[in-house]
Amino acid sequence: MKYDHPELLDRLAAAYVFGTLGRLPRRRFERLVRSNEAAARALRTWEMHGAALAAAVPPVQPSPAVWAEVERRTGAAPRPRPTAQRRWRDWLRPALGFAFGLLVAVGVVREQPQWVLPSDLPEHAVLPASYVGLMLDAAGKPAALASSRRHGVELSVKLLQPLVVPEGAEAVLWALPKDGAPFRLGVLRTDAKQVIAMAGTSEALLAAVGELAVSIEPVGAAAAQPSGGFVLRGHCVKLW
Amino acid sequence: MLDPVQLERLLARVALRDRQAFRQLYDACAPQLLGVALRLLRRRDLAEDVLQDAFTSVWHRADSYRADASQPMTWLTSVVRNRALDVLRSESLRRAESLDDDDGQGGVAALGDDRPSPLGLLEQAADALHLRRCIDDIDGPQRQCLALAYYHGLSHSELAEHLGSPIGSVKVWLRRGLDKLRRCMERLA
Repeated sequence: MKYDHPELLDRLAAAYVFGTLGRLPRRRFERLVRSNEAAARALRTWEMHGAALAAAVPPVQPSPAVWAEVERRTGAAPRPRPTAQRRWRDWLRPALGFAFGLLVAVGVVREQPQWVLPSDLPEHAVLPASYVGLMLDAAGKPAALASSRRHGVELSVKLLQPLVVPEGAEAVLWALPKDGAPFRLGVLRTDAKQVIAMAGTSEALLAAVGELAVSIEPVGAAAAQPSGGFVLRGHCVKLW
Repeated sequence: MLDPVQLERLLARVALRDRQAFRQLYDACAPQLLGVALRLLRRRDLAEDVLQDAFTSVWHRADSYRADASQPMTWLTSVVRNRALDVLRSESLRRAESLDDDDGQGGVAALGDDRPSPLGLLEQAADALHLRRCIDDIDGPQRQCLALAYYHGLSHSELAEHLGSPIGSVKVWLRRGLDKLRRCMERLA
């Protein structure tokens, strides 16, 4: 159909506003309006005429439930009564996340014990690490493993992928307590294996920490809080 | 009812996610819009659903409102009417109410109130616009088709059934009626 006739567009727009177009022609006209400025103009003219007629309709007060539903659907109010299923899901999601993190961390320690334990010491001389954190990159791949003995003041870090740090910036390792603000553990170098000296024992610092994370900060800023997003992040668990 | 400039300001604030403005806009416009939807759908539950959909959509789409293209109430009326017409034309909805008699009183009376008939509404609108003489000049069947189609959302076949006339005649009446209505409305501009 040719839509360049002003008269045809005017009739289509009038029929659209009056509601006498069938369902499919309605959809066709809506598509036409999006691409054809003359059709859009014709529609606006008829919508204006229509609204002038609609003004004669006596108002009817909506029931209060209408506004409550609008608020809920636009995100202002919570669902009035959460169902049992919903509460279960709310609880399940973090629990599953934690369990998955634990499983991965334990799995890594089992499969690659040399990542956690210093390989230059005789096996009987070392206690296995008590605290282990496995950090993942944005794609969810393991990127760094941190571990510490229960009363140790050193945190051993093994990079499982190269850490990219821009010029003039440094990678800062943070501990994220389950309740409370992140605190700084130290600066990560780009070495594959390294040891960070912590301000206290792992038992004192990490007992209430659920996650470890790495952010990129300006060199020497000694930021007390991470300034932006984390490049690596993962669960930290106490194994024994 | 607030004037168009006040409504425009409210819509601009709604586009900035101002919840208080959203509530004011709702209070100012929802009753009028529910009246329009109820006329078309004749069932309060369906009309209130349409009103909810419309205001949810207004919250998300307020930034697409263009003050230079249409007045706020024109835009809001179109959002509500289009949604109501979709519901009305959807196959799942069968009209529970039998359509009214020739003067358009029965169907409205079924709502349990004494609101005016579609023709009465058209006359009131014409009075408000100072177009009464122009609209009275539209032939009776044409005027009736316009009023029943616009206010009650009757389709061609429903109009034919309601008026007891062939569908071809109804289409001609509607088209001529719309042509004349357009000429009347052009006097406003």
